[in-house]
Amino acid sequence: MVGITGFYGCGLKRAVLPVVSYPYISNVEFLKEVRNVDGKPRKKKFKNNRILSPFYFFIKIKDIENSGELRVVFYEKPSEKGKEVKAVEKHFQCGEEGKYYEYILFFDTIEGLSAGVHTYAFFFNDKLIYEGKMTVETVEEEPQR
Amino acid sequence: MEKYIKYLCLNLILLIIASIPVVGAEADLRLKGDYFLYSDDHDYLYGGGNISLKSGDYTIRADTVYMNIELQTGLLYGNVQAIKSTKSDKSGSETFSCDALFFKGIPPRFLRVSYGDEIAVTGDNDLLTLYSLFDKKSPDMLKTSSLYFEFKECTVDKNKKIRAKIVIPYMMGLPTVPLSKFTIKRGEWAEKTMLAFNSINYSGIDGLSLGFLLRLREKAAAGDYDIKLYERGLFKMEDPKRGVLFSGQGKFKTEKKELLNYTLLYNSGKQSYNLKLVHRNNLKLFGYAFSQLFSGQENRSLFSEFSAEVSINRLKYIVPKFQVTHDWKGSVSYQVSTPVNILKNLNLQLNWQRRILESTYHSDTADFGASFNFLSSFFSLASNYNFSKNLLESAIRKNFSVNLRMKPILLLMDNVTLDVSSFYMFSSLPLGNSNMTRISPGVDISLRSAGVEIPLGFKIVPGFRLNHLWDNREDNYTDFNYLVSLQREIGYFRASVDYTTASRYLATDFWIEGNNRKNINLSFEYKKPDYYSFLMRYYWNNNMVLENSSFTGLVQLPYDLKFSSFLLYYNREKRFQTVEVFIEKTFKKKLKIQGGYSLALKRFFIKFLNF
Repeated sequence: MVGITGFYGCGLKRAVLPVVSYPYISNVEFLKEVRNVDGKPRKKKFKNNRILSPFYFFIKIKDIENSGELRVVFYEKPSEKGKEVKAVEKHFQCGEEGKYYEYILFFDTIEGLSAGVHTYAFFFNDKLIYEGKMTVETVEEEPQR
Repeated sequence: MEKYIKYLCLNLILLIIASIPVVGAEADLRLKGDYFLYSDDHDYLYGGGNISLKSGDYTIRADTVYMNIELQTGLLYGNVQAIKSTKSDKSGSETFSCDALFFKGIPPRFLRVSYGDEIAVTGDNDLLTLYSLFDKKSPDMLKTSSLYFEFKECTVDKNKKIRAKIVIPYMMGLPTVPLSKFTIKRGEWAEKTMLAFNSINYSGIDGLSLGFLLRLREKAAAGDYDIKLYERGLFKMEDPKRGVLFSGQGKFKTEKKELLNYTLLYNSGKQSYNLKLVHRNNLKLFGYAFSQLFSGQENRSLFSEFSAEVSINRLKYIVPKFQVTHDWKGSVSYQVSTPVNILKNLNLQLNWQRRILESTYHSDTADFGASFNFLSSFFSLASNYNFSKNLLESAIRKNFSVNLRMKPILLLMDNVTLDVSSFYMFSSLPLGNSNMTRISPGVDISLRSAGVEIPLGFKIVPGFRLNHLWDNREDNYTDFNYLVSLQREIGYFRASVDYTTASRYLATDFWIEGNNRKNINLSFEYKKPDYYSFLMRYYWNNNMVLENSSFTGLVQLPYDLKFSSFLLYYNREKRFQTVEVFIEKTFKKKLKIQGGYSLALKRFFIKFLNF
């Protein structure tokens, strides 16, 4: 674990040194396809990074202790001037009590999102740990060069 | 002189010690939590676990914090609870809660976001762009920095100074000595009179140097000065062995305006100095500036120059400027210039100058110049005219040029670009008792293609260029340049073959003489941006003999280290012309260190380069 130096310096004891104790998002990707092949993720990206629906999200969360629940939510705007409302929600249980995980990978498919800008939010044990915006391009053919 | 320098150094050191500790900046943003990480390269802070932020009346609790120190913007996540204690109002305090809290500035303004079945955004609407665009850097990204700190508590002030408690500094990923307190970021210099240690540096020019900042912020005077103590003797550099370099700029002022500006430079090693005093003012109808320059060096006489300038502001189409300079010894110059602004896209500049030099030699010249630029949708036109007369010798020089450039024409669905430009140059220079005139008009046509896809994934990129020059004194000639490039890309790999020919034809009486050269370049490139790039090139000459080969490699290593190599091999002579292999590291975007081997130097080397 980071922060444990194994020695004392300037009168500081190991117990008071800073230690990572809260899970954090290390990586977020939106991909064409993700498969679990022999315990390793095999990812396929969209051409020219143009995300089309349906797509896969791929998340890496680090420093997880005990069990927990990840909730992934995507929002959309039904009209130009309206508020963003929940469109898709997914839940994942992970971990076991008494165990520490250097990282856990989550991936799943998201369907039914219309073209446009969407806000996404990740909650771990009901607390927001990350949010952002992503764009889904039209599902028609990509524009010719 | 050396005694004086030693005395100055000792006094500076005593001043620095006396000025530390500086009166601490106000602790405007106080953060506490289980874990914080600050990256020196990114100037960014992350915190996770039981986060508490206090600023002004606000106390905020959250689970995670991301903060851009440079922009003073940040974001809190988790079960965010904020309490605003209003001391004046005894009825109590305000509270609010949300999922995400964006903040900016010290003291901060806030924007609250809650993510339920709907997203609710409330607070300062000026922070809405922050809500859309705030860049979150994870601890993994911050730890790629060659210098970062982990700690449990810190204060960040308005000058971006960060003082932390229970700190572990990390250099190149390795932990160093934990400290109970440490200033991990010095921040901007405070706007007050002060003397502070700025930097310690090494370069091939100054040797080892210590830099100090002297800042003056008083009612009647303000300025910033750099004091550099340098030592070259220790590194066996040429004279001067050591010295002080004092430079800076400042002003004398009242509350409402500046009275006198100055810039100064003094180098004790070279015994040289430079002082410029400027007084300027802008009135309703005109503006003026007076300046006096003093410049001197050991064993050289003092150079002094006075300059006066007046510009008329309120005329419709012109802004005439009159300038006079005098060196107090007899040399004087007068200048009148003005832009002419009649049309929006038309720039005309007129300039007349007379210069009389009375120094080791005498000269008296008058110059008139005009330059013209016109931009339209279809073309751009630029022209220059210069007329110069030597009043002592009655010799006249004239130059005139015109350049007409058409806007690029796009053909074949924007795949082909046609560029046409023409030029005309005229010059008349004194030669004996008469003038020698030279006239050379010309035209340049180039045709470039973005490329055509052909089967098997290849791409052909042709190009053509024609340049014709007429010359009244020498032969007219026409240059033709052809290029055909065959390219193939597969993932990160790229190969190309370029065939080029360059021909020149001269028309002499009835005959056309010419020569042409051709060559082939073959190149292979394997490149992954931000990771590595390798380029191998082969060059065949006009006789289709392989002349040389080159290799350029670059690999990005952890902690911002770069491994670079360049090799150039002469195939005909079967030897290496150039071999350079080195590792490079940049520190704080100011100092670059390179170490490696160079065939040209025939040894291993270490270089220190300043930006």
